[in-house]
Amino acid sequence: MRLLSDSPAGRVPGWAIFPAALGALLVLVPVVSMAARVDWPGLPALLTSESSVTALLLSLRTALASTVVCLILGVPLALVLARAHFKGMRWLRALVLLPLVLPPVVGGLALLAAFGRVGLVGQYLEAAGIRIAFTTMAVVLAQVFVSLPFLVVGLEGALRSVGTEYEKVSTTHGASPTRTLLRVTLPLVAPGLLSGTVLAFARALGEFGATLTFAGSLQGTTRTLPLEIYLQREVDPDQALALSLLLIVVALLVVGLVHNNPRSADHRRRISRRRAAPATVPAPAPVVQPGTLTWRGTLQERGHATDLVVEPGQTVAIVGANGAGKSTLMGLLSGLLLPDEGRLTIGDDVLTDTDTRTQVPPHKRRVVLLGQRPLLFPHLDVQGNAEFGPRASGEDEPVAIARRALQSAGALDWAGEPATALSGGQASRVALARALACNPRALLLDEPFAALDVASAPSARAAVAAAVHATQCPTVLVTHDLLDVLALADRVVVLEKGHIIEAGTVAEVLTTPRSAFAAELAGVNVIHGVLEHEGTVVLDGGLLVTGRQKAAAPEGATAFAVFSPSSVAVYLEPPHGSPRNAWPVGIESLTDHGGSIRARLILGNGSRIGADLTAAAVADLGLRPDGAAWAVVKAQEVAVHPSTPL
Amino acid sequence: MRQFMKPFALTCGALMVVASLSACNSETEEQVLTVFAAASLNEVFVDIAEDFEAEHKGVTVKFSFGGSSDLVSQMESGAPAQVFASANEKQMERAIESEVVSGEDVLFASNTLTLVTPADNPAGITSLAEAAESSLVICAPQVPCGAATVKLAESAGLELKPVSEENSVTDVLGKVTSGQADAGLVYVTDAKRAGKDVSIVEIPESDSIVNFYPIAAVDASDKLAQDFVDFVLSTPSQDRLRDTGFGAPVE
Repeated sequence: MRLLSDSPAGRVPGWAIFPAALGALLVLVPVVSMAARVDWPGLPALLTSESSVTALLLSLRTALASTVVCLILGVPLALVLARAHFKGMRWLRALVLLPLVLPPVVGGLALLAAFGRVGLVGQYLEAAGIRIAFTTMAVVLAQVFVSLPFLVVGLEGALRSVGTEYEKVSTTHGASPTRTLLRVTLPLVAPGLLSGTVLAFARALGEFGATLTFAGSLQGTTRTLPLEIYLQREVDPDQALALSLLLIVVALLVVGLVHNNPRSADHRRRISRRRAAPATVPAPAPVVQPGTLTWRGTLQERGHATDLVVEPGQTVAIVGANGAGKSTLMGLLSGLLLPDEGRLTIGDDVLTDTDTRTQVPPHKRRVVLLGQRPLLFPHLDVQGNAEFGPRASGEDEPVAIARRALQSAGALDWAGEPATALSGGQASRVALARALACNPRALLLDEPFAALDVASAPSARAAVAAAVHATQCPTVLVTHDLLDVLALADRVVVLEKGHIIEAGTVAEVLTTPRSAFAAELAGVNVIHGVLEHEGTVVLDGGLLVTGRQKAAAPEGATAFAVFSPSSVAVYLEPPHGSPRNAWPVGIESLTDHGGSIRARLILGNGSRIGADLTAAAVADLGLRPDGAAWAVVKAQEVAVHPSTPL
Repeated sequence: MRQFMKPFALTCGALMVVASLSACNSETEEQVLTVFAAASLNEVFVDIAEDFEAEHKGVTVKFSFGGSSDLVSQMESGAPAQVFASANEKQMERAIESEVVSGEDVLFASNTLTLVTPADNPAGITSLAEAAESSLVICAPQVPCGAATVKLAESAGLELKPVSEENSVTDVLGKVTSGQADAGLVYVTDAKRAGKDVSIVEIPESDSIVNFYPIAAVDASDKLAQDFVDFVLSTPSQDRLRDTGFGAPVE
């Protein structure tokens, strides 16, 4: 006996038990009362009468047939409803669900109007020699009409809750849309699909009104068990009761055994756990060789216009604020988004070219996308995940390729484990192996370590670095993390509002950041202005910044000054003497910054700079957010860089 | 909120007034007579009840129309009927046997089967023999009209091969009017009620198979119920029954 809930958080409120019990009784009492009225000694004879057996077999046959039809029509329908976007979508859904609220007799009348002998469609079928009226086909049609929504509703909900992330992984790992549907989407929604199918079968089994109205009632042809019950009630209530009991038992068996068993899905998964150690066939040589990735393109709707060159084996880090267009860029490179104008080549292969209307679909690009979450397919084990790509692209030795990939990602030890049994760090390695097994032309990494804990991130980074080196793939890395940039990237590109505002080597961008975002990433202050004379930059509003100029440039050229937050001192009064840099500032915020206090200061022209102060200094000066102060920086701490065009 | 509450309160008040008024009325001469009648009697019994109400001031007749066996089942389960009019003698016998009806039952009408086709008679059917070979719909032998159909086929010496055996005359008629079936066997009264939607094919065999309608007061001591039974047997009511296709209650 288990309690109502194991966790206090999920506990059922006490008052809910009363109405819950009442609800259960409402169903239970009539069923039990009916069972009590059944003539039990005479039951075998009642149930084995010829008409009963015929009706039961017909019911099972037609319900099975209509369930198959429901699956064939309902799965694609649910997919369209859950995934497609078009006008009138709401109305399509309402229409599909209509039979749920329609009295079955009305459904029967509607079917008559459509498929009857003189119906809208039926008259042409009749002319072609196909008659549906009074046939078993009419029974199936009526059952499909009423039971289809049960499958569609259940499946659509499951599809929505699973989301499209796994499908994106599947697509960029070489699986065609159909393969993605059969090997990823449907296994993921298996519980929803199963329960929808069982409900549809149960509804078909109980279907009465539409069948009676549309198909008629003839023993062995159209008189299903519910119709037989209704008819027997006229002459032999005992027989009707016995048959009702039979229908209830059959329905309970189906629903209870298949639908109501939450463990069945886990159970099957456990059985499917792996097989003997994979054969040691040498993995075949890669079919594609890495080349230089070259991209230039636009997507107007998102205000996106970027260009990018990534050499083989090189990693370019894409940084920028949220909404700067990083994900859009990844979508355009992976083929999940179509550019308005653009061209993407890797080596000699043209993947996108709007001039020639070339758009290689994502699953044929071998441009593999690795996201924040590993998204290992939960219905496959580790080996199965690694085999996914080579199987999707029809390689001869998927097992050997998967093993090699697992080995190079350091994940071979877990090959037989279920994907769901791994830790975050392990899963990210398996995801890397799954990507490598695809023989990628290029790697797209979208914050691949953001979800890992501090302990497992470094080794995951090392594994990625080794993989990029070994495969010589051009690699694009979206990140917010300075450590990722330092550990993996050769170059950094800063995006803002869909455009590249800064690009350069990691050293260039981190030591002399031009953009606020890069400065923030590098942990330094950057102020933009115009070169007044050697070493002095004038800002909007006339403030002067003086430092050591790093390169020659004419007066009037744009320039920027870079200095560290730790070189900024803060006073309440203007300093005595004549330090070269002293600016009145507003205090925007004070935050704890790992042992010191980071003060965010606003200059007269709106530029923001950071100052690292000791807690004692903040307390002595009585600094408060929204207060005013003076910021002072020694000239030798400031580097002045003339701007060079990108 | 107040804007919502105001009409709500008014409605409540009005409902309470109406409820108290009707409570007052029931204490005076207002009487309700509940009649359980076979579905085929629907329209004609409503007319007869209006005549009855005109003669009996303060009496309101309420009907529950349904299949005769359904009605007996409901009465067995305690449904509050005062008069029961059945479409066949078998169900009246069942009601008397199970002691839900204690009043004396009398026959008040009869009904015969007839052959109907869709209005344009697409299969060109002119006789029961032709209908037997076409897409024919009949009542299932388990229900009264089907039992009559079986007798009809026997007396005509025909083997009917129906495409469907329906649970009620209404279902048979529906299959014919919608053009699903080429022909159907229904009661004359149903055929008349369907009007222009069907063509009636006269079949001589039908005269020999007659279905009689009995009526009884549920409680023998219920004066008002017995009045209604007598009223149905009176000449004006019998005329109304004849007009809608029912035959005389004599063999």
